[in-house]
Amino acid sequence: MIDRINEKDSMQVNYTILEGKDATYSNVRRNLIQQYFDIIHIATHTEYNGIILNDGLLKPSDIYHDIKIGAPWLVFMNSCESAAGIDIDPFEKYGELSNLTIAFLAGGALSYIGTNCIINDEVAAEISVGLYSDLFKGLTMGESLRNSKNSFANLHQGNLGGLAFRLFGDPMIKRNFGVDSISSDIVKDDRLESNETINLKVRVLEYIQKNKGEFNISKCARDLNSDVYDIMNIVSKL
Amino acid sequence: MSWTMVIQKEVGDSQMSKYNVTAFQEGNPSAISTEFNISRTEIINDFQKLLPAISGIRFRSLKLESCDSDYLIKSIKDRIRLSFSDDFRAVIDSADTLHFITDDVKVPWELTGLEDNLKQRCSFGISQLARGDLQAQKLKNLTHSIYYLL
Repeated sequence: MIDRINEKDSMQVNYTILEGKDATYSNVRRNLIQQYFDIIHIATHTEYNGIILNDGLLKPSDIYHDIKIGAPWLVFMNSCESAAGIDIDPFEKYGELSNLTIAFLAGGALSYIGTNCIINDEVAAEISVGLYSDLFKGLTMGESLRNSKNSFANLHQGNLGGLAFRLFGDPMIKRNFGVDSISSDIVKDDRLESNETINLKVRVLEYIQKNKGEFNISKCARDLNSDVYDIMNIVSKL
Repeated sequence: MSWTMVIQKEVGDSQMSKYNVTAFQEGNPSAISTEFNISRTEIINDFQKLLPAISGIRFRSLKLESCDSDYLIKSIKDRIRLSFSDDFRAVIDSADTLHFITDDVKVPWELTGLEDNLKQRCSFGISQLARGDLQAQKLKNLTHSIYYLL
């Protein structure tokens, strides 16, 4: 899948995808320790005290210790209540780190995007696609998130979903992804996928790369002769 | 224009919470210092009421109060913004980028940059500043450790 993306695009996009049975506690920790990722994108269920993986809970203290070696540029925790405010001193509770946001930022991540409430898949998908398409064009983190939220508000009048997303970090930071290689880590809690789904996912990823900045789920479904729901389902887990 | 605001909450939890602000403009060595008072508890409570509307997901187990979300957003935004001095409000309104560095991340500061059509006018990021009393808490823990060791 990665080779096909790289063939189609001038950028060298290196992904490490951990999903289904591979999204285990030990696997995720091993990857965080052994590899450097520019972007860590997590689309799974989270609880106040950690990220729910296939076989256990990844706690904030684990994250803090694991990413210290090579902290990412962006962590996008695309899950419910992943940036919900807490009233206690976030650095210390019961003698350990108690919050995902703080764990990543204290571990050295430059920026963190999370949500302050429960979110649905449609919002999660559209906000992340909009954000990455602007980030990869070289816009700042703040501009990318703002544009993505505003595009979502334009497309879905009256839907307040975009307000769920919060950026922790300097909104002015940006990177030239056209020159640097992109690596990203996608953790998903899916069950095992069929070959058909995997093939569609590859086509969607190619489509996103090809149509940077102008990605629209309905248009993508039309162009790929596929179902909108299937596309949305794939994009929501990117 | 890009601004960085350091917003620190004064210790104490009365009905009105006092904040001290120092604002820096990128490329400009001078800073603006000001202070404001907001009804923090009310603002946070109202924001909590708004969360089901933002989420768009309803649970039968969750007792939702009917609320006009647009009104709530405007009300929260106004309560924060109107507490600012004219100068500080002008800075917020003219900024392209706002970076709030604060020890109180629970206040929905992002709403200050929201337009009436619910679109975000400027880029916004927030950074956590350790609470002023963190040092005191650490000292207290240290004292306990020393006491225990003795």
